[in-house]
Amino acid sequence: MNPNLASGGLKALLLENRAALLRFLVARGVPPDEAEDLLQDLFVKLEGQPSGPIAEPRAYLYRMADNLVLDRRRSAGRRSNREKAWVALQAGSSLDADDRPSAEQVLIARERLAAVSHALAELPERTVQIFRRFRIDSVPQKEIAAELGISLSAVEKHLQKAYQVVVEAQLQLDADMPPPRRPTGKSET
Amino acid sequence: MNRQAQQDLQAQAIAWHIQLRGDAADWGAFVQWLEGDPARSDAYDAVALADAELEPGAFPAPAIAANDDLIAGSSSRNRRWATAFAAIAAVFLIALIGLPWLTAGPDRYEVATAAGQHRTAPLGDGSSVQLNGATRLILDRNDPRFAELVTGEATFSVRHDAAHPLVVVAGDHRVQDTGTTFNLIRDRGRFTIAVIEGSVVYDRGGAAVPLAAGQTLRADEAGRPVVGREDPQAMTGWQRGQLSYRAAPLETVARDLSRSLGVEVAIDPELMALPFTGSVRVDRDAVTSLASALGLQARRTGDSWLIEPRSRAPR
Repeated sequence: MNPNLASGGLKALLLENRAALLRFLVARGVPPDEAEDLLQDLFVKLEGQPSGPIAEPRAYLYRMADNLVLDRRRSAGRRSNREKAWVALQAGSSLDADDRPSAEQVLIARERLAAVSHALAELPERTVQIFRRFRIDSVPQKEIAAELGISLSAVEKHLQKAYQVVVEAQLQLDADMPPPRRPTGKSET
Repeated sequence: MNRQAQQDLQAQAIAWHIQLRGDAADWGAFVQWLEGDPARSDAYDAVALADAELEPGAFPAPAIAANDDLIAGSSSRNRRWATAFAAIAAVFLIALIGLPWLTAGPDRYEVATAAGQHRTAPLGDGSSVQLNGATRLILDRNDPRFAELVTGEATFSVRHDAAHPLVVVAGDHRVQDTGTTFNLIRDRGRFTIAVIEGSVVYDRGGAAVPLAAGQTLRADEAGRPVVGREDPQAMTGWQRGQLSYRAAPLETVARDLSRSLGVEVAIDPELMALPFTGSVRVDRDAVTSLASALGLQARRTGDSWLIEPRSRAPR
């Protein structure tokens, strides 16, 4: 175990980079007072981290902060949808009010999965293959380029195309069905 | 914003998302990009959230992709098969894989169950954890003494090792244990520990609370932790299909039943706080018997149950 990378080290690094992380959170649309809370959450979270090796501790902190923002956006969207879902339930239709896989959610997840699956199936096989290596197998772009004997920018182009399709499919689904998506607490100034 | 500008923005957000997932992530430059226009953060959200929802099951399986008809087939029959395949794949993948990248750290992986499903997972050091339905747990290949309960219910059976306590995190709740059996529930704002054998230390923001066998702790999102007592046998009742309660809000019972039955059980908002004392057998009549025991009625709406006052009929 590398002492530099113990959770104590990460916490020290967080304190050191507090101002920069706050600036990041505000740029991500988190109101300044909530940004403070979020950093506090992050600090507490580091307590539970095993002291394993982390290659880029600073990037790791940014990533964790970003994940917290995304988690909040997701659950905020769900909370605001709960009332709507209640009405929907009364009307006898399915609901998406929850943050765990209920029977309805499994159905909705299936539907979403099928839609994204269709979208991916429309892509050239090569693009899907590259996307899979990157997204599922977590192979760095450089290695994918080497594996396939193509340039880094070609890999990037394939990934860009694949993500476009995935994002469009999800946006379409959200337009059809009110999503757990809209961020709250955004400063609209 | 016109369509072209929107597409450009989305392309930029995607490029950033790809860059940030790699080794050469330049977060400082990302901040500068974000600060250029508030719409950029929204565009990035759309990309990152879409990616987070992306499951391995959405990818056409390589072996089947060779048969283009099956996946991209245009007849409704083929599409049904593709959908069915994706659905089956999804169910298996929910159970077996999960999303690696949200779990922060290369050696983290997710173990999850669908509602209604039970599963036992080894923790790699002779310890093990039993997952109730609708549960997500993050484990670490390199650190068998770490677990994160993302949501749901699980019973940890921990091998004794005083030098390396097992730490389970659940949001800002932290449970440390050196060799014992305990049950955790994390469900929305509710967090509950029940110690079956041995002892654990609960910690939240630095306030340590030791708990011994037979003790329970319940913490709400805002409130202070409340320590109570329960029969250790009843604590893991879910494993035997028997749920026991003492003055538990009906909403809690409904959430537990949803997890165990794999069917959403909703409660009329007026009844959520209604206290329930007694046992519920987890079987197909569980919801109706619970309702009738309370003088209420259970109604099926689509795939879910709704427990409501009896006189809901039009007057």
